[in-house]
Amino acid sequence: MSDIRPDEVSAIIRNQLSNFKTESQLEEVGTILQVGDGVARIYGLSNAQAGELLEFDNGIKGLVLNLEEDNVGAVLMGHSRDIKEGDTVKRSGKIASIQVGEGVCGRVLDTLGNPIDGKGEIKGKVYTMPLERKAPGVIYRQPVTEPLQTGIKAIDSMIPIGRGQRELIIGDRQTGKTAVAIDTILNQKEFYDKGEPVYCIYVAIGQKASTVAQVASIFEKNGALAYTTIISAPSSIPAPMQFFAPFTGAAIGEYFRDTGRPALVIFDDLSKQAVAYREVSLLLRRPPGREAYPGDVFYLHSRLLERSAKIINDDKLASQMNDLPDSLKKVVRGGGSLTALPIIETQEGDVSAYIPTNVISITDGQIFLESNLFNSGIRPAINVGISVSRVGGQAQIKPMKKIAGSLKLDQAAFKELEAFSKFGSDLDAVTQLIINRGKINQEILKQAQYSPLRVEEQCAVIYSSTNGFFDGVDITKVSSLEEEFLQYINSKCKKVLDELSNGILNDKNLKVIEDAAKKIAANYK
Amino acid sequence: MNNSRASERYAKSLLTLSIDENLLSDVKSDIDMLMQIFSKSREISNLYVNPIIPIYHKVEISKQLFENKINKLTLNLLLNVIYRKRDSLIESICLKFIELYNLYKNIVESNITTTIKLDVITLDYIKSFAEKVSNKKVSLIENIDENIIGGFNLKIGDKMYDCTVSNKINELKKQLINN
Repeated sequence: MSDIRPDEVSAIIRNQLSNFKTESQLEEVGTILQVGDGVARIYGLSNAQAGELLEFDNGIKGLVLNLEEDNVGAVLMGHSRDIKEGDTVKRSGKIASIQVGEGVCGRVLDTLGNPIDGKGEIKGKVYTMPLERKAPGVIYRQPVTEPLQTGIKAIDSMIPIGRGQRELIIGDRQTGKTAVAIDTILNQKEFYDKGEPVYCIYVAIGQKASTVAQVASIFEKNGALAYTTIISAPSSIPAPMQFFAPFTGAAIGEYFRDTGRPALVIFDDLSKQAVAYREVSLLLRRPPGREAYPGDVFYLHSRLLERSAKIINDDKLASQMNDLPDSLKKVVRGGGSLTALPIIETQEGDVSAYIPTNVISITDGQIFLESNLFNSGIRPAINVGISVSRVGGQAQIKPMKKIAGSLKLDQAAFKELEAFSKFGSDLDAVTQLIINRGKINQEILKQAQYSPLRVEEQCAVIYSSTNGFFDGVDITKVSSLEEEFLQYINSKCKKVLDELSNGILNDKNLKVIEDAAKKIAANYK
Repeated sequence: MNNSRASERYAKSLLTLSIDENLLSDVKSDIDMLMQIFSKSREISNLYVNPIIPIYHKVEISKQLFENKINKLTLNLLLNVIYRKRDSLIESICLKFIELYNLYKNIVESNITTTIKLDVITLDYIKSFAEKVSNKKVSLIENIDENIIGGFNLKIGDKMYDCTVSNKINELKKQLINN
């Protein structure tokens, strides 16, 4: 810590004292009837709105959730320690909102948008963004056309994600869900370096604070913190703060989206958020439904995920967007997008539980991660057969679309034959070929953590593998083959890769890749 | 306050009936008297809250206490709630009745809290000020509380002017902690 100079401190205090207002204003107040479990019932506050921020005597904030015949139900955004029956509560007249600006990048914030990383206040101009905001209407949207590169071969080739899409990452505990999300954020460094960043928001809900710190340090180490904001709502904070955290993430994402830039928000994870919401709802005595979740838990997730969108590329039309916050109106630009990657943790692979089915039906596709794949060494443990992306296909770059077009079907055929081949050893040559190539493809689709690949590199590798240039290679050596191949084409065929990344695919380029692949593969047979 | 809904129903029916029968002021004074009795005598308020005392005892006692002293409507309500085993709500029914009565008569309750006793002229001035703010008739209640250190706190319905020294100190504390 730097030295504290007493004269400076007294100057600051002096400044604060001189700015202190001594006159009083008419305030609307209520009286606490009952407080406990993070929930307060308040008498009075006859004009309070649903979702309005309240202030308690000791400075703790509260949020109106229930408006009843003769009282108001509010949740506390802090500990209820110093609040007692009979205390007065003030209306703030504002609905819950946070301050967002360019300064949020590289910061760790809490649910109310306050920095908790000890780096001081958020710098630069800030705009007030409401936590709850209606999603953009149909006329302000545009179909998903641009790809969001995750840097993971299996995803970018077979389950492509577009900017503005909502793709669910679902799987049991310990299957690498967070790893997929983190790799996706790390891969956006390429675009940050190019000067067209995809702003990332990582919302950690109900996790251990140590895990959040670990994630933050991974981002820092890999240079990803510069374009990433972390919203931390660890399991130690009250349930209302946990279930509002994704809304904070969405509000920050919306700031980038509405100012014409791409943003990516990761909700890690929504099952814990649903649990926090269930807790609050039960305490507010809302009637429980299936699995004791309240009736509006579907709406909770649908209104959150509906906010991710691709905004129309027209500044004039975009500036008329519905429900724009007043402070943001002057800086609105078209063409921005907000991509959401919600994460759901299943129990024992049960995707037919309430929350997983809800979120599956809301999102535009899902990535299934399975623990048996994970344990058999296929990492990322994506089950390609049941993972889909409903809109991402249009967003793939042309070379990738063409090269990986048949990969998913090939792998499905391979899986079927592989199971079948376990019964007998005599197989015809065609079946043998499908199985052998499938095994190599499977090896190629494996990828280590924190090592995202650029899309043109992925194209080259997948092209070589699916066209059989790697056929006959020892399975155990595929990963080192891939490494050498990538090194080779990165140094010798730079021009071809550049053209691929610009969407140019011609026979001449493919020939160059083929030659390179065959040359390297020869060393591994 | 758990059964505030039920209390409101009883209070509302008493109010509307007394309006229909033109007995509103009588019933109001009955309710005021009941409230006063409840606050003065613990035995009586315990009588209604206690579920062990048999209903016919409660009815007998109530009749002896209140017959010919309070209005027929009020007595009927009292007996009715006893028969229906809702007599534990009687205090909250009275409170609700006063609330609804104020709403009907366009009266708002106002509290002025100070450290010293105010003179009549000041109180009149405060009352007229409160009436101007709320656009309603004001029934002013005066409180004296040394804990506020100085200044005053004027509450009009659910609006409040907090000009107490203790509040200002609290505000200052919050400001210094937050920065």
